[in-house]
Amino acid sequence: MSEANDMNVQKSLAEIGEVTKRQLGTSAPQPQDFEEGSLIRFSPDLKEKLDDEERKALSDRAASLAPWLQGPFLLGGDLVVGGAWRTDTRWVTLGTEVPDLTGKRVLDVGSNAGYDPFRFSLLGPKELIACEPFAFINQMRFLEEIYQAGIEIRELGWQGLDPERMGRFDLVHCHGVLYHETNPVGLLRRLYEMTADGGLFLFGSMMHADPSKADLSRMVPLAYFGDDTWWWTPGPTAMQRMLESVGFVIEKTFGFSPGPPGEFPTINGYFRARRPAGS
Amino acid sequence: MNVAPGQVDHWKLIGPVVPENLEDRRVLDVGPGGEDPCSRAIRSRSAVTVASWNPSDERPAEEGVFDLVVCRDSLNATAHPANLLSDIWHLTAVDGTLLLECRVMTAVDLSIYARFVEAAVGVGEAEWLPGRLALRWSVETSGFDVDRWIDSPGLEAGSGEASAYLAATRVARPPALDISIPEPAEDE
Repeated sequence: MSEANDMNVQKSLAEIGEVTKRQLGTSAPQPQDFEEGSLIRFSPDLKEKLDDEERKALSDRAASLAPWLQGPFLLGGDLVVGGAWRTDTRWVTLGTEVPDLTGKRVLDVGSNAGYDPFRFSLLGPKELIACEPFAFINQMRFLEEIYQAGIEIRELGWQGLDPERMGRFDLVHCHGVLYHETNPVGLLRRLYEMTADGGLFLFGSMMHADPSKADLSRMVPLAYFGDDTWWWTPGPTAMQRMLESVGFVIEKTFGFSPGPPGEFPTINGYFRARRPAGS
Repeated sequence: MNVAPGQVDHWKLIGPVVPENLEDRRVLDVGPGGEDPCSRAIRSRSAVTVASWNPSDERPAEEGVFDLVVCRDSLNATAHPANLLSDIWHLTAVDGTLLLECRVMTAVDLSIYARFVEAAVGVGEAEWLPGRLALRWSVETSGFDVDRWIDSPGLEAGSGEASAYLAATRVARPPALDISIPEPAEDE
């Protein structure tokens, strides 16, 4: 990485750290409590024990990439990184919706540190592309160096996705992107284009939780829970209609849980949808 | 002023806000194209320049040159309203005036909400229908200070949906939602 790139990464991570500090009171959240047996081993070659030197080197590199939002990630021995979010709890329900991926092409959009693509990698896809345009990509690259999961990591926003160049995918997964996006319909249209005929689309987003306004989207003036990158939150029905309007057929919703404790109630949830065969 | 069938005469409300003499102004006429009372009236007021732009076409190359921008029948027709407002910000001179028409949901309790509807599915012609506060916030986060709402009888009629009109000043503050995606690294 060039010196200029390195400075940009540090600047971006510092900005993310500021947001994290506003939300959690610290710019370097520590891994939340977890049960040791619940940790996923993203590589069969992960070392059972790390000597002191290895442990310090890995730990220092991880610290240089803080703040970590996703996790937990076991790096070997008893060393775990990952901070603010327990991404593994989202997988309690998401995991039951993901089919066997043997021989499949998988696209993950807005991957952050890569927790989702690393989970997909354990299900045998033929090809797995993970896209992340912001500084979190450096966390994902660091982890891929360790896990060697075969993920193709691309520094790419959804605007750069191109079905002509990249082909279409049997599974497209996108979580936590829509409410930061000023062109939400454009995002959904592009993800539809990236999904193969009959392909599966697993789409997760924050939504507002007012049932009387479920068919509307709520704008977010200034910030939500200290995060000024929130632009709006759809209600669940609005979300459903937007997905349908770009062509997806919704099979079910799942994994609904309370969102962050911000200015108004929100929920986090998933839509399982499909691009119709022959479309 | 003649109004063709199906056209709405936005000029009735916008016109009184526009100076009678525009001879030292550069004006941008933003609309879906074709002749309407707004276009005809703007052209009759002797501006230095009157440029027309249909937002479904590429943005004009001029940067920050227009003193007055009149925009109607446009913001609802895009699924990416922030992008259109950002384009207008780029075209407008600092301290220039934006006169904007946009259909809104009139109910007070829906003021901060918006509805995205893809016109292609046949539900009306709007792709984006905001409440009044959502519209104001969208304009303000796009680098404009809202000076005032222009009185519109439709907003009081309780029909659920009506045209709202506002006057705003383009300020130096850039659009807050102009989130740039980093260029891919050279090795990718």
